[in-house]
Amino acid sequence: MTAMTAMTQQPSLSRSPRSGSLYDVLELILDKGLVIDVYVRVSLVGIELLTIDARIVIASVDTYLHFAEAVNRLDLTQTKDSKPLDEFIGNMTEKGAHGKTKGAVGGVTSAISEGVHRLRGGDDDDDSRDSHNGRQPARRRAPAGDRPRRRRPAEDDES
Amino acid sequence: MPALYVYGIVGTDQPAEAAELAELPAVGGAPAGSVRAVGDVGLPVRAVVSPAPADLRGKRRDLLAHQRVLDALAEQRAVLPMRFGVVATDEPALLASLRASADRYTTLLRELAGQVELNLKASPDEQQFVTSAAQDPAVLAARQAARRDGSRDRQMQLGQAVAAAVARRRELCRARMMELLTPLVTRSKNLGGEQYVLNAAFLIDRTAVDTFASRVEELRGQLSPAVELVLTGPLPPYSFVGD
Repeated sequence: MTAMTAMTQQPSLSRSPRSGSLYDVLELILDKGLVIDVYVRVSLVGIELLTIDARIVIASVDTYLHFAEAVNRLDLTQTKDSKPLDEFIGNMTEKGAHGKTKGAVGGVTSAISEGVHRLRGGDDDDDSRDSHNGRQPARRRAPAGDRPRRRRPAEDDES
Repeated sequence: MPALYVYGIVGTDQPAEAAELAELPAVGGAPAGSVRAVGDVGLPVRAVVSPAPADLRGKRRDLLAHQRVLDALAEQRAVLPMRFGVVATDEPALLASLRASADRYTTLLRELAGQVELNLKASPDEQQFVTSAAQDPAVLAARQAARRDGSRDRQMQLGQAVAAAVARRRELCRARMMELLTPLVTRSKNLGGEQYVLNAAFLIDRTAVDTFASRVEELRGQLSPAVELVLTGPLPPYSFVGD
């Protein structure tokens, strides 16, 4: 119940989509944490793949052609779009963000708490492989033009 | 004796954990109340365990149960979280193992006292990075060349120039973010992942979490919509108990 309490008391600063709540800590639970030799480590076939699969983005011919096409489509007089990024990476010597912290932010809530809350409805029987499959397309590199806005699912209400 | 699923290790000098554990579901679906701490006289650490299921498969509810037990423990005390799926053959074997490594565990627990883990993932909006990269001198030159000569080779060269310029911008972005965040934390660890500009674990004093979150909000404001930030935590220090 502790996680639930934390969730209701503190507004979440960062929202992840439903399946992402678990996904975002999954790599930690499965990849990090203490392991000791004398223990039996249960073999989790399928689950181990989750953490590896998401990392595969390969520089390939397709990637290069995709980049070339993306740049060819750009109107170079319309580059104001990337101004926030240009400014952020351009001003390496300035320390603009220091000391501007504005008072109380309620704190951070574990995304997993949100997951627990949302999953209590009863779909917690899903095999985690299913949740991975549902998530996977968003993690793959899609052509820039067709790329769906991630992390903005309709059901992600601001409760 | 039955096998035990192990959640984590706590110090005996810390508040007793029975109250937090009483209501929590166990990994493998054992009834509420199954999660308990095991220790021994003279042993400075306890392990938090529940009866191990015969067929642990790591369903979503099991992963959540693991995480919730550790979340509950970490609220009140330092805890060494185990990786999901660690099972001790029986209680005597577990206690023998705790005894053998007790010094290392107590040292780690002391180091981690009052500290929590935060995870920050920064995902790039590719279009924004490409737009920025398009203004790179090398990309402008390659684009001119590709305009004059529409061959596939020229397109490939343009694409490579863009890829390099995008990679450079990601690295600048990552370095700048780390420069702004690391002064607030005890330690940080890069968790990698090609799809992220930054994916890192931060070990931070519990009292500094709000300040860190405010700093992340500032970064979000500065970087939106080029980079999307997801901050998760406070978490048990998964990334700071291993090697």
